[in-house]
Amino acid sequence: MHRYQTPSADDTAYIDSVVDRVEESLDDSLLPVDIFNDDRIFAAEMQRIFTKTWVFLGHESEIPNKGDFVMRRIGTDRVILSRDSKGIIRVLNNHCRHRGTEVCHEDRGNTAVFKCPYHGWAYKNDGDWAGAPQMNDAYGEKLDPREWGLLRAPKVESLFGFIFASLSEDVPPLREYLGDAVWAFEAVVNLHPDGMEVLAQPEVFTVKADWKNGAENFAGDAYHVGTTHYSNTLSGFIPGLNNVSVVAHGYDFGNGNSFIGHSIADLIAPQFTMWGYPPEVRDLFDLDRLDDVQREMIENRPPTIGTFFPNFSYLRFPQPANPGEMPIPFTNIRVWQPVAPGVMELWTWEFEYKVAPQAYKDKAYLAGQYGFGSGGVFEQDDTVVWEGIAKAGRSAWAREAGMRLHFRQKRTGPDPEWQGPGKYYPSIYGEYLQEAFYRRWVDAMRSHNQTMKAETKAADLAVREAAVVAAAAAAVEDEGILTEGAQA
Amino acid sequence: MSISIALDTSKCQAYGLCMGISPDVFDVPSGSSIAVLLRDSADEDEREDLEEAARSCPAQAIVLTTTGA
Repeated sequence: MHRYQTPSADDTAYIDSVVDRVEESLDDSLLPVDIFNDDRIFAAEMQRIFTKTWVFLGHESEIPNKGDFVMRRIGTDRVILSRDSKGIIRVLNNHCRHRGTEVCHEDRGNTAVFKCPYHGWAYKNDGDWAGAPQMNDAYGEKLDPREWGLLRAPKVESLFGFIFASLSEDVPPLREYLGDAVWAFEAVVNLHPDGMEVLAQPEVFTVKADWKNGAENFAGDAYHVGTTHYSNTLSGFIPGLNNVSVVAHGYDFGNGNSFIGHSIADLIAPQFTMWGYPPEVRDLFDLDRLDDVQREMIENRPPTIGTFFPNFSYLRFPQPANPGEMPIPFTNIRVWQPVAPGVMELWTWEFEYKVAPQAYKDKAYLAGQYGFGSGGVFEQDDTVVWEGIAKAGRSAWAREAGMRLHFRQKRTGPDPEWQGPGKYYPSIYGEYLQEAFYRRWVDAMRSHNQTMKAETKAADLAVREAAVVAAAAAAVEDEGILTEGAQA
Repeated sequence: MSISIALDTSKCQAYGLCMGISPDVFDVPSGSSIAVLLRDSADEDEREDLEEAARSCPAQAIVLTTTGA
């Protein structure tokens, strides 16, 4: 059903030209629509972005015990996120080293050994090769466990319990990669030393939309809420959605990492500071962990929605768990998981602070699912409009006409008085954060070329050095001398 | 209390992981297509290794039973 191609050499020139065109368009606050739902762009994104950057895979609370594992994805690859028998978190490629078929076919579980269903090669839960049927007769001796183990993601790190991995060795440490965004993330998910936990298994469902549209929306789009989600106000579920963007702000932490903030107390009622957490939860928080700016931020304009490039997003907003009830904040984490051009899996987890009372967790779970579960009243609104963009991306007419999308809202600029890291935009109008997301996309699609160039350059240099050495050797033979230059 | 050890020969495929973990109990003789038990009971102090062997067996062929005093 889903098509997938790897790019050919010809495609490289095409993709590079598209990336140039995107950057030129962004300079004009426009975005070519044909970067969505495109076979060649998709294949290049898998190679240039998803094998090169940190991506979110899950939370430590999903694999608390030795031997626990869950299946996740990096790009289009299924990977095993495992806590090995020593307690170390591993990210393993799910393809057998013998003939390549998929080793694990369970969504989650606990095991000491993963066994391939084809010939039975077996792997320990740290990925090392463990054995094969009829070991002695078939192989004579044990194979090298690491050489023939499952491919392992070279980088795995956890931030406040949130696990990220990179398939590239060549990435900065996670905190450095996320940069100033860690400052805001800390104020969101680290308000208690015990941290947060996943309340249930993630929901996973297929949406016929480009992954970038979800990521872009959560990066900074507070403007759509009054229209896309207006039915929630019409039905009386959440009053005042028609003008919610007026109380929205933007936090830009660079590199495509950003948050929307809302003055929720101005929107709902004065007691709705700090996302509207009720006293029985709020009183548990240890706010001494935060600096003054973080404290002021979460009190008055807490980060409510955000994206870390490429495809990790966050959402915390007060909503009723049932129609007519007092809104309470829920925390929803999501991944816009590309699976094919114009198709993503939407992964969503409901989280809560571990220390919160169970009754609150149950309610927060309901509130989150009511709005943003796979059948959630907000989720359905969003996914419908994003599916429309994927159709535009594939439209021959749109391509022929060179259709570009409008990112030209009025800009009043960042707050010069802002004391925190990054930039703070008092008004969300301006589409700064969405533009920043696509500029990061341009950089990521380009940095691949820089790596390629560096490799080519290194290879070139090696060839030239070899030539110098050869020439020097010839000179020695011919003239019996060795110059200083040739020695070097 | 002692532990009774059994090998389900309809499942065993001679991976030999058991032999690596509990060489006093399991062996895979040259030319054999299944493991063999060197003995069929063990003391409590061997439980940890035996359970590890049973858990690690890719064929899930090792059956441990706790027997009375």
